[in-house]
Amino acid sequence: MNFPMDKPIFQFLYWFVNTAGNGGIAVGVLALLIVVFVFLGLRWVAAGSQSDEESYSYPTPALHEKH
Amino acid sequence: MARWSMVIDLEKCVACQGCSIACRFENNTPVVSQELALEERAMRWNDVFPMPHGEVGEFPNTKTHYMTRPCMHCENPPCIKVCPVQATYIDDEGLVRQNYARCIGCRFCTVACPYGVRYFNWYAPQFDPDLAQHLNPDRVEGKGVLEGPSVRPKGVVEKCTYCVHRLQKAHAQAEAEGREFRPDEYMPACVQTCTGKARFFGDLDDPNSTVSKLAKSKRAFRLLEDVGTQPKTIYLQEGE
Amino acid sequence: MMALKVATRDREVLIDPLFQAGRGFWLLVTFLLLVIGWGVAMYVRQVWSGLGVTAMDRPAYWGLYMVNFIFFIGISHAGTLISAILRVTGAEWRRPITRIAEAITAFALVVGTFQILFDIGRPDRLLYVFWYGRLQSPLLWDAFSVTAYFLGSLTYLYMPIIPDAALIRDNLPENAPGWRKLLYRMLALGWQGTPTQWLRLEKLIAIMAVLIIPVAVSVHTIISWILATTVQPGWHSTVFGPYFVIGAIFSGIAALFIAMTLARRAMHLESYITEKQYRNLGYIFITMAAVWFYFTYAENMTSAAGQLKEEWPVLASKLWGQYAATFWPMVLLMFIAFWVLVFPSFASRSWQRVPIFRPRFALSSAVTSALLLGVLTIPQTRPVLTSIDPVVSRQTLIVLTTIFGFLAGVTILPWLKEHLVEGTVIASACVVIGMWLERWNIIVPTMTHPRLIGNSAYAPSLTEWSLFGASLALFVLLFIIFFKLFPPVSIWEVVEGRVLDRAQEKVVVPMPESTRTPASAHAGFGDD
Repeated sequence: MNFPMDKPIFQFLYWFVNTAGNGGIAVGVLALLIVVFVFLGLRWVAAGSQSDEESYSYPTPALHEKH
Repeated sequence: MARWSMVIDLEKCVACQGCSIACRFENNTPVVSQELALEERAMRWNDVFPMPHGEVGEFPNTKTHYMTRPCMHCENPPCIKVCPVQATYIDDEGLVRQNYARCIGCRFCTVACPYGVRYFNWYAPQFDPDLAQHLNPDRVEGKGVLEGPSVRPKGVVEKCTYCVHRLQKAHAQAEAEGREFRPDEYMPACVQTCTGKARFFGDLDDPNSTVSKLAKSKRAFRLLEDVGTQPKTIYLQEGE
Repeated sequence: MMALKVATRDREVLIDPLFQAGRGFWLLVTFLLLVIGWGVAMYVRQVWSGLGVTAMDRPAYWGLYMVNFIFFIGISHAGTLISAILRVTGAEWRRPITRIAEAITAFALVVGTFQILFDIGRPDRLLYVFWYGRLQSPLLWDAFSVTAYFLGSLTYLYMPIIPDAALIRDNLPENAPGWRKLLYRMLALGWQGTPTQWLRLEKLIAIMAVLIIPVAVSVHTIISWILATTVQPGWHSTVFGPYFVIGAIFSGIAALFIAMTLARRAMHLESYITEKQYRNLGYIFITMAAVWFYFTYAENMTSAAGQLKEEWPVLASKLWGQYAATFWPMVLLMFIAFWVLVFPSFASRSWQRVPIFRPRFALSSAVTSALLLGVLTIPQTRPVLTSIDPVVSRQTLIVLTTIFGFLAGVTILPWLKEHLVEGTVIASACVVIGMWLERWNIIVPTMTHPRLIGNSAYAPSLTEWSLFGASLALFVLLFIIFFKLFPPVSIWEVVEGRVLDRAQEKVVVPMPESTRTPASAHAGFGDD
């Protein structure tokens, strides 16, 4: 009657949710991932000004069709 | 390993509150002022209270039934599942422990307990000057650990520990004397004090212990069995 | 490096006021700081003495702070719904209100998280939640999802600001202080508005919009699971996840209506935020109201039918016990909100020719009804009219209250039909208060009616009310400071919308082909 704790995957999951500190690591990893993703994304957007194109104050669908 | 359990025989209990008082002195639980007690700020690790159904019978032959309630030390405790910092946890001897050094005072465990055995330090504990000189010096402490009778700071949760410091002392004694630990060397203060000899304590894993035998009694019941917490504090109902 | 251009009217309404702070602004800031200061003082006292200064006790170990926590995090769902879902579904009318909505989200999350700080017994150990965090606890799931939502919302708030910051950078007034010039230059990230940049920005915003929707749903679901994963009566309910999310979106839209009306009035945005926003968002609001009523009824009906031993006292306290005073006003407020939003469409302007269909009559009718309701519900220490049979007088009072209430509701309809903005604000105020009461009704009756402890009462203390007031003041303060730094309306989105609208007006949609003329046998479908 000890199933599921007989299986190693459940032993691992039990350890994972029951160990102090894992929660902080999970939140930290998540925050790091989001910050990195956003940083890279913003850098990608800012880098779009390299080319010698016209500048516009606002977009329209026509702007994207032309390119 | 052991599975510590307490059996309380309600037929023998006379509601003298000796258990509550012994617990208070053993575990350095402060007394609060009357105003605070009226505000439901009193802390009673072991609580003796009249049963909610009130008085039974016609005057002058009325009777009030009393209940004495320590922590249930459940085997499926709802309180340990919700603690965000593992300040409360179940150890391998079946005791639900409370670590004051880790507790952040969120009171999630207190809210999750269906029995109401947990108490919160709304203020820093204050002891009467005379009592302050006679605090129980036993401490359960270690690196990042502060449990048992150790004087609590404000803002943490506390509850009955089945006198875990006595268990620690019994283990230490056995080791110092180079012998096996004997289960009958360990009993909580309330069990030791009980006027009516209504409380029993022992290891449920040992089929020959008193608690194991009493647990099989026809009078045995547990509080809120339908909730699924599997409490280890067992009661024997009144009557034959 | 070309300077980005902005239309004069847009600049005058949206950019120039950012650099002008009148006396009213500073008075408001001072008042808010005073309220916050009082809250800080009360908090310091609480940390010094302990949580004993609150009214929480055994068994009500959670009280006003928890109610406010759920309430503020609920309000934070405004931003996601408006910005993300409407962006993803291509609803063009969302353009003028996205920034206000996103700002509400960010600040509501901040203020909501503060409530946790107020509530825990050891605020000095707050970081233990991370150093020693245990993932099985719903509080950790909450930390996880709120972190994701907060960082995501900040990003989602910031990205559409980039082109606007560049616009301000290129159109600063002469008297702009140096630190502000630097601020906009830094925030603009060197934005030039090239087609590549626009493409990339819009793509990134679109990705964020899609990703943030499930995160937002998870936030309030997980908060509901803080309650639903316990075994306490009234909380252990399967419907809590969806119920809380709907309630959050409902209260979020209400908060958004109030915020956008105040912003519209204070910053003269009438030409940007028009009745179209109120009407379209109003449809979603009405839908949320209907779903809320459905969930509330389902929740309470199943509880009433089951009559489980531990659940029944909780429900009874809400229906006719000590919490009837918070339950029935909540239902009434939500009903009034629904009435105010839906029923004006059944009225017509011509009704106003009849003299009773005027606001003055409706108001006096409502006041009469409220007075009669007061006489009915507030316990009288001495019987008011001893000569009249109490049963008959009570029945008469109920009938009269209903009649006057109904009269008030019907006679106000033409006025509501003409005053969409005012009507929506009235409904939103009812909803915000009603949703706060709903949070109260979820937490407090269960806390005060536990299984094994005698029933108790809980009425919050001065400390708790002070921190509530300070939280509201902080929310408003963050809001008005933010909208002194950034335009309240997303300029580039609104201009894009204007261009699209004008282009659409020029499109002439032809009549459909008739099926009767013989020549049409070849025209229309094929291209022979």
